[in-house]
Amino acid sequence: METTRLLPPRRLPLQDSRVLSLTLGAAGPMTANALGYFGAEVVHVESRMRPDGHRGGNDPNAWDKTPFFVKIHRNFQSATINFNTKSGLDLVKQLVQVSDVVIENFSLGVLPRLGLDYPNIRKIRPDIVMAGLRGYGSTGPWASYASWGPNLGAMLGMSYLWNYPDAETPTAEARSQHPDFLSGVCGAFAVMAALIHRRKTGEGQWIDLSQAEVGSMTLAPIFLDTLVNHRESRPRGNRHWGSGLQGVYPCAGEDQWCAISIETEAQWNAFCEALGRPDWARGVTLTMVASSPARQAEIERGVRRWTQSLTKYDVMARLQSCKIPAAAVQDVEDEVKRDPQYRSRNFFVEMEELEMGKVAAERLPILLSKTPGSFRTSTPFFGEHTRVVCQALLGKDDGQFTELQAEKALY
Amino acid sequence: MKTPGREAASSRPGVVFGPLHGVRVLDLAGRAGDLCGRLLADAGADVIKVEPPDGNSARQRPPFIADTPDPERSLTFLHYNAGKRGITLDYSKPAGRELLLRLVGRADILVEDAGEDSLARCGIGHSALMKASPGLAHVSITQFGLSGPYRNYAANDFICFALGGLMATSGEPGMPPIVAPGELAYAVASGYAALGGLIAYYNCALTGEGQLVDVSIHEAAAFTAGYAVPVYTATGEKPFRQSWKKRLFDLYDVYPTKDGFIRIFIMPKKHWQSLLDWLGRPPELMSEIFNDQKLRWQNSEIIDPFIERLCRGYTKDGIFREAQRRHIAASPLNTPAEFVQSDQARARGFLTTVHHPVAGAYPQTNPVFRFSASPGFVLRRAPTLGEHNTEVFCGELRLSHTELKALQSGGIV
Repeated sequence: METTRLLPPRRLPLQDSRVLSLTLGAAGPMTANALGYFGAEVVHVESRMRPDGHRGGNDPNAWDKTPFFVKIHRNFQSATINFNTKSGLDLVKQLVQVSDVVIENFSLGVLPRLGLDYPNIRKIRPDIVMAGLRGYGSTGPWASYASWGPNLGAMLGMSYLWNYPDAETPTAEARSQHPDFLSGVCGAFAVMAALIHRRKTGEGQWIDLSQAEVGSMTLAPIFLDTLVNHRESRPRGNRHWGSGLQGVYPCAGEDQWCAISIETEAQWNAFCEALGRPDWARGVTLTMVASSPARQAEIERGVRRWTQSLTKYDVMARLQSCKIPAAAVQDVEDEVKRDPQYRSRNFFVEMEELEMGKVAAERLPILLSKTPGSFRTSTPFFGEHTRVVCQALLGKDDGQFTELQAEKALY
Repeated sequence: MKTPGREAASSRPGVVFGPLHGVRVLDLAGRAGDLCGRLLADAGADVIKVEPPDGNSARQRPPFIADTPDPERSLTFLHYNAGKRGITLDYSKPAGRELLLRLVGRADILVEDAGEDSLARCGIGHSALMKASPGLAHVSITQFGLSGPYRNYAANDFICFALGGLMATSGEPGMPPIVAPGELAYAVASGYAALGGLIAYYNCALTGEGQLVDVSIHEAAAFTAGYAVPVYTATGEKPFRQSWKKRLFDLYDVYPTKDGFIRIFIMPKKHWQSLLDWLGRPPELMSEIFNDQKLRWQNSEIIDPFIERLCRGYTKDGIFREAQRRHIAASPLNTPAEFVQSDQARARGFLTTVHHPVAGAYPQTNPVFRFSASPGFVLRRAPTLGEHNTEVFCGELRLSHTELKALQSGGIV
């Protein structure tokens, strides 16, 4: 294994592993990002020929000013290499030789054309672990179909279900990137499983991940209900799945809300006490409330009257003091400036980023007691590490480097 | 239509081994963390689900097969526990605790969603677990993590999602915000829990040391909310709730077709040029500035009517196929069952049929990862309550059948 390192060694589980990231968008970089967090060296190949929408798309002036990009590109080394030149392609092949993992999310067919698909990559590095993350996977009639996260959300039924009961609009979903974020962590998990297999057997392999399948997995109880019980799935809004009383209620102030979820009879009794309405619970169980829409509507009117007079944090504090699941509906400002839990666990990590000054982004939502993981470097400028990758990793001298630049292999 | 490898192997499960073959996992989790064990099983780990003698609470979760509430018919439990073996054990009692710690001594990874206080009350807190198995990856999935002022607060997926920022941007303006379907915070937390478990396992192979993996569902909810935190801290901009009809700055709207809705999402310039060809290159849209994604978003009121007219001429399947032929990222707005019955899901063998002694035959999702070194790897169905008690307690812990009977009549197993 190649031992040259771009960063000083630290005691992290993946510190001896190098990840070659041939990705853009969210799911692919996030896979590399999770491995980088635990010590892997991530060489991220970018090119003016393949602009990343997350960096700012076609406008080069935006590439070092896009806050979007920060969340999933810390710890990366950015090298600009142009695949469309023979020398550029050779450089990528040389990088494969010194890497343990390759992650890619090109359109189907691009890598085979370049001779960079798994059968060819493994000739260069036989024990390589290579993961391809595509919207619909790398096999099947839709393997070449174009998709972004929001397309998959629609395809899977996520957009349809993310709505109010009896809604007249097709969706009320948030602008989100689901299932990109779940695909990213599943990709990193699969790479780890393959690295564990490689440690035991010496054998590398190819991983085919379909983001649609990853996202669909979380909706299985719903589609299984359709397939087994022949029940059409319908949007449920905030309704509880079982026999609970659950909702989002208005609080004092403009567009301020709280969420309350009552799941047990004990919580139901405590809730009625806390609202000063023990009469609601007299002879009436939570199950009875949940099964009678009329009774539920009446109770919810009473709940709204109570919450409207309080701030969302008052509601949360009062109900939590009685062990009732309740929370403020927080926006991003609340999360960053107000939430004492995120702050206490140092969940938002601020760093000097690109041309933007201090920018905060979430660390991974896990804390490991012995090997906690870290952001060792902030987000790289476009091509920031091209020279060091070529010289320190691939052993090119100044003359060769200048030549590669001149022929736009480094571009 | 299944991929041939899967078909061949499904009649003899266990013939093909996944990459985590030989990794032993104890899964004490309920619904908040049971996807973690499922992901480990999907990659080939031997996962033993440990349930209380009256069953894991997730067995009470709807929907049920034939709408019959029964611990063996919960589709939620059956899905999230596929690929696992199952035993029952009351580890709040000393005899049960001793057996659990013996199982821990043989395990590489332990997954729980009860939290330290509740485990410590049973005498199996973190230090007791590490004493039983010094190299253990102890994965603890809790609502708020194991530290901080909220650590004892009551919550679930819905509550954590409310705190995590994405709910505030979901729903129609003026109406209450709404939660995402599919218990997204639980799902993302389980994904990172499974990753953390493998990182700790891998690290143990290097150093011999086990450790605690503290997973916060509250943090997972915020993590999955997108890019709001860096955008807000860099620019002060906050995302807000918008009506789907009046989206102000994006072009990934859903448009009505003859028989449903289609989402068209144009990002790279070449997709935009391809869409222009399809639209017949109307002069109003030929300005150079529209090659830029941001400027397209800012001018969506000019562009949208053209796309809307185009979509109305097709069925949702028709426009999906035609858009993809032109390399444009379009997708129909489906129900969940429509995707799993699609040509693509069928061709990849997303579902397989399993047979259950109580619940009968039902579809199960195949492992979500395709590893080239283990083609056709399939999962056993979810265990019935205590199905592998004899196999695990007598076969692996070497208890006699008489001892097992005594534990059963004592309510331990």
